[in-house]
Amino acid sequence: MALVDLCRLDEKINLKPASSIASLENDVIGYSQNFINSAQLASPPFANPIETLAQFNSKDETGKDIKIQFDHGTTTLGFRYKGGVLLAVDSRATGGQFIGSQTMKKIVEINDYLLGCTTILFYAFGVLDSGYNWDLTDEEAQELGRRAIYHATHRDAYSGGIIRVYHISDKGWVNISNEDCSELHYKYQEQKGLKDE
Amino acid sequence: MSNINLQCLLGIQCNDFVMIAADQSNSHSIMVMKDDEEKIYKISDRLVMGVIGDSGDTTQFAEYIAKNIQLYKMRNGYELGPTAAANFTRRNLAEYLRSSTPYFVNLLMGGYDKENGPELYFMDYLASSVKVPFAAHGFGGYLSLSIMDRYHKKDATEDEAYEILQMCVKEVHKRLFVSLPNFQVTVVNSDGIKVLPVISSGAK
Amino acid sequence: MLGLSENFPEYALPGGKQARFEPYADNGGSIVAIAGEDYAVIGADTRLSTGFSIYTREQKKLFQLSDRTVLGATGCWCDTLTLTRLLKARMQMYEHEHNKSMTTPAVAQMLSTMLYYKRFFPYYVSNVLAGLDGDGKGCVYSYDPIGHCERSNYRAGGSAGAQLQPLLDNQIGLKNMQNVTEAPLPREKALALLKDVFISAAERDIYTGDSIYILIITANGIQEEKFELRKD
Repeated sequence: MALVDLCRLDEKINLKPASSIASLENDVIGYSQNFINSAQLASPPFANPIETLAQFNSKDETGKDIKIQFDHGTTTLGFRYKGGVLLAVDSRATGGQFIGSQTMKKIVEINDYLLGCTTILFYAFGVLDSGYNWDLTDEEAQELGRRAIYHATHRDAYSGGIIRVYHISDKGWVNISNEDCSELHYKYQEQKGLKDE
Repeated sequence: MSNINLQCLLGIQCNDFVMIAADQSNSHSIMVMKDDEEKIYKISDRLVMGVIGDSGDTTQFAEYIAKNIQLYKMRNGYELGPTAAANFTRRNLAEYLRSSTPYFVNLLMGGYDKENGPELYFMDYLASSVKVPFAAHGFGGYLSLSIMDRYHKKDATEDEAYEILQMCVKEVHKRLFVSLPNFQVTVVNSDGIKVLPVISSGAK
Repeated sequence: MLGLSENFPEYALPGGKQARFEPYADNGGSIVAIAGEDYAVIGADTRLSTGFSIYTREQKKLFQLSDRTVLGATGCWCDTLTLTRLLKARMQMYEHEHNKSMTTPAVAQMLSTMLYYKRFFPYYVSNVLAGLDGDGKGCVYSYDPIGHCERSNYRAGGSAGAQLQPLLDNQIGLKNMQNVTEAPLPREKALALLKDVFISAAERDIYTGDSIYILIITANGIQEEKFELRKD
């Protein structure tokens, strides 16, 4: 074996005896770690997952494009006013250019008092900022949130679907409305006195 | 690196007039050199052009267009209307784009003539040209477009349109990381060109 | 490790090439699942391919996880095998621990966590889960590669997913139509539709064809069906 060691062949070829297949057990553990703890994530068998994963997003051995596309949600917003907190979201999920879903629930109903969501888009900011003040009534606040998301869905191709509005006050959260943004579009056009341009 | 997207142009066209606003900052690298720069050029009696881009290019191109349109008037005895002027400008931009000395400018052209009323043209440095009811250039434009979507209406008065521009500028001041303190505003209607008060971050 | 060709070019074998690490393959295949009031149907084509060659024309891509839950999985076939094996193992563990079999919504949630577990080295698999929920109603769950899960009544996935889904949106979802009345979809209609959309997919997607293997899930058990597609 001395020559093997000297040439460092063992680094290139696996010459270890069958008993060391015990490492298989490690594999099993690696695959099933989250059987015990569901929040645990597998560590990938390579360093720097962001860059390495991006490299895998190329082609397979036959030259076919490999594109791992995650579903992305885009527009959600929330603001605080005297009547509590208002959250509004769209419902479009996109994987690349493909609309994976038009009905995604971007607000997670955690409990009666907690909702979870996060991104906000500049298209929504414009309308939100221009109509916002602390003393909005509940109806005004709901309409502002709905409007802001509607305008974002109109400008941003990655946003769309259903516009959901939630209101949270000291009594907990209430789902105010879930409206299709294409129906809202015609409603708002009509309010402006426009038919279809 | 160009700062073309750090500058901002806004334009609104309604039934009786067209209104253009432009930021007044001139910056080089990380420094602001000037905050009272004029970026809206009077091309003829009822035609204005807001231009942003590399600072040498903007002046050179705007003056070249303005003088040629004046020359056309002298030669022919009548002016180019907004549509014709926009087409002339587009053609020039397109030809320079394919030369060794392209102009790196984005612009809005607003004008009024008797036949067609007020018109607004949106043009970018690649010489795409579109006639639109409202438009914006630069990062500030992203923030402003939804406001214009929300509040623009055909029958707005000049005061209402000015208020929409104020809202847009307010939003730029609130959310854009670049300092664009002043916006000059110009309106074109059947009476000609009128300069409106500058919208500043201090005001209102 | 020393790269032979870069560091010792004179020792490099002519024609020898160092292979890059390509852990993923796309073996193609499509799935369609439709849920009704008291049933769910799920079908997947049986073609398994790599590039432009076909490995087999009779690979079933539906995994019967229990008497009311079926998973359809396509994409990187080796990932599919690993994933479904782990899934079955965990379902068995659940059964031993709780002395009951998992409901479809429970399997759906577990699949989501299992996919997210591999967040930094995902399975390259398109999953569609179909079955009956706790109330005996039909349900369909679909996933992105890292476990984003959504329940719906119909879903297409896999290589022809982007072609099939709009067809289902039109025929079942009746999307963007006016004056339509929503009526429950009869099982026969769902089955006929499923076959129809696969015929369309086989017409345009080279990775979909040969035949469809269909499972029909009802309270009375799971029925099996096979339907021939074009084989070119």
